[in-house]
Amino acid sequence: MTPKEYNQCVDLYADRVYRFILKNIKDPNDANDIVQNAFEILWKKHKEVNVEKARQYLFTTAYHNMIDWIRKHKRIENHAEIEESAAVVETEYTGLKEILAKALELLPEVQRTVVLLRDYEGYSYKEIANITSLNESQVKVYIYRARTFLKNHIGNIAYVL
Amino acid sequence: MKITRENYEAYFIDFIEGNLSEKYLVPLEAFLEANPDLREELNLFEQTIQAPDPHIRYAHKSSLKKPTTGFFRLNTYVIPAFAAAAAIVVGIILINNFPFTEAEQDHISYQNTPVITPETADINPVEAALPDTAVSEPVAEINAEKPSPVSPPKVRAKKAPKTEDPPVQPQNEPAVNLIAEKVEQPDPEVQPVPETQPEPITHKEEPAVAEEKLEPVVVTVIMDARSNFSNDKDSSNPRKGLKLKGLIAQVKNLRSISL
Repeated sequence: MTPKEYNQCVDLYADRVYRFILKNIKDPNDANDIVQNAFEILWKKHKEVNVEKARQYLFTTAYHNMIDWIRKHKRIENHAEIEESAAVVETEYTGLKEILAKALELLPEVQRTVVLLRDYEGYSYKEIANITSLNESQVKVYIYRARTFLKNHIGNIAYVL
Repeated sequence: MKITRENYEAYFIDFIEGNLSEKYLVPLEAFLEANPDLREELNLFEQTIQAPDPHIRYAHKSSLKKPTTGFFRLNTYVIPAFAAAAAIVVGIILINNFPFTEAEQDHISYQNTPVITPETADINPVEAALPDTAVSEPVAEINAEKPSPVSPPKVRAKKAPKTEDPPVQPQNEPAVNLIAEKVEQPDPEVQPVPETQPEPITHKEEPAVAEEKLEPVVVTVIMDARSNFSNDKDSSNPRKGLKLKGLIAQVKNLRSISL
């Protein structure tokens, strides 16, 4: 990958990596740092990375950085999840998008990740498996569980409303 | 496998994921016709698909980009490389011009050390000028072999001849240097001798022994001999020379015994 191609990758993928990370960790500053770190690593390896594989390389690097971040902030995140869980019932939902966003935050970390990679980036199960260091069967199972949870959550809220 | 109310969710999920095989499309439609209450559930599954928010953007793209032109790439890589090379060259030059070996350091210290001559050193001129090397050489050997807390004279006496350009000094230079060093750094074991006021001696052959360098017993003998010698006012006395030679021999014997 040439420096010019690297800069094209910045234009093409910076927003998408940032959305993926921000949706998972919900902290803009740390999401910025993770994205910056992922691109710095890509730059260091830009001569070795093929431009066709750059997107997957970026998401893989950012995902592992994010996992490290989540492990460091596990206790804080758990506390936040409890608060969000309580807030779900009290929130006056105005649209399906918000309901779905709240439901997504309630998912386990790995299920949220595979769903976001699937929905945001359209990755195949195999590509998701490569990014997350899982196998395809695990990816399929996690997606199944996540879809079922989200469907039930949406259905329950709709029933309450 | 037939689609039933027990396993329909897997087929629904495969359908919304786009992974359902074509051979199941007709059976799925048939299942929904037979179970219209589950059609709404299929709609809920379809609503679980997340859509990215295009308004969320990474605000620091420019900071991620790298220079692609030659000038900036030169600044990034070549200039630091040249700076590092220059630093290495300067370091090598400094190392080559700085003495590190013992021989080089000795040479420099020797050049910086003032040469001690009989005129500059506070030594007994008679001791230094004695033609009899039998007096000076044993002193040098004994002082070199005798363990002394003052080591520099021993080292200097051996290393000075190794230098490439030694200064011109008298033949009995080692003894002079050693004595000069001993004068500069007096041996604490030597008892201080009370200053005496000997009468002026006009005779050239009269030995003026460095009393402060000798053992007390030697000093005592010298003092006695000097008083006897000075009492002999008759310069024409032929025994005066014999007395002087006897005095020197006596001093030599006493020094050899005391050392």
